[in-house]
Amino acid sequence: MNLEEFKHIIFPHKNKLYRFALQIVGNTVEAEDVVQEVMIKMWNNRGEIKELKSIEAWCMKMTRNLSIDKTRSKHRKVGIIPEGMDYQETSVSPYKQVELNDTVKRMRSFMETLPEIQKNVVQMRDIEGLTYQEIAEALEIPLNQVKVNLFRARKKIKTYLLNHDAYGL
Amino acid sequence: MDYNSLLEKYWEGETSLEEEKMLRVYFNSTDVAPDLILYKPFFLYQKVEQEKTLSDNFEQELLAKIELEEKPIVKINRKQNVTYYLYRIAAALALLFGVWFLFKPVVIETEQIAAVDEDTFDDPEEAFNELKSALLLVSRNFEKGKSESMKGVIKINTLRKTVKK
Repeated sequence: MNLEEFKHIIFPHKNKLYRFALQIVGNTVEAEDVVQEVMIKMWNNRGEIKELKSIEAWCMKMTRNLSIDKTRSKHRKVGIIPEGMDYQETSVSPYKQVELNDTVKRMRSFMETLPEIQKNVVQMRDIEGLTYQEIAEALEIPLNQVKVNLFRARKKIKTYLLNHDAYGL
Repeated sequence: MDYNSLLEKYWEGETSLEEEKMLRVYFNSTDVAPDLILYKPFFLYQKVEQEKTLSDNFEQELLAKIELEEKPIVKINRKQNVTYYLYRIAAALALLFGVWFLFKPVVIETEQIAAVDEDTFDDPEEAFNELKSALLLVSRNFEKGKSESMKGVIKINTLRKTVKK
């Protein structure tokens, strides 16, 4: 596999890996480092890339392991709320923008309260659009565990949204 | 489209990826039904998270690093080259030649020593007489040395006796 082929196969996954790393390490600089490390490892083992069942799941697994290593080595709490809100939409008024930011921030804070595995499953399914099979491979858990964790997480999210609306919390 | 039932399916974890995408598009549009608007924050959160991307120079930095890491790989590839093996054989031969060259003078010296050990006389009687005269010469000179040194000792003894008196 030459560099051009590698770029063509691996680079489309970069932002997915970045967001996943970011969710675990909670810091943009470290998340970028993780993705870079993953890609260099993939390049060094480029001979085996074509034999992989799902490149995406494989990359996600590596990203997860490296991200966890990073947080462990620093003895930090896993899953700190990412700093800064990059959400920009030019069509909304500044007032509306603040409201949007607050809504997302609150939602994000709630997501942080979910168990690590549920958080990962939601991230992979609802944000990255991975299949159950790919999630199972990436997280190294059985398929039914993926479904159970996704179901439990969504149930909690629904309850949170219902309560949030009822009490305006 | 009945988003109410689709949403129920979603909470039960029974929607497909395609249906989940439809829900995301719907909840991020401006025409969300009032009774469903309370679920909007979660789909908005999904959309915002999806928009997070790596910095623009990420690829450039990565490619630069890959190029740096490439150097040792080039060396590994060279191993498979025929000339690489030829160089290895040549180096081994050079080393062997060097070792042989180092030990060569020792072999020559041994030959010379062997030459000294060879008989110089044909007649044993003659050889014995020659050896005898040589040993006598050595012995004579030893005695000479002894008597010379003894003179000094006698002198000191005489001196000591005189002083004691």
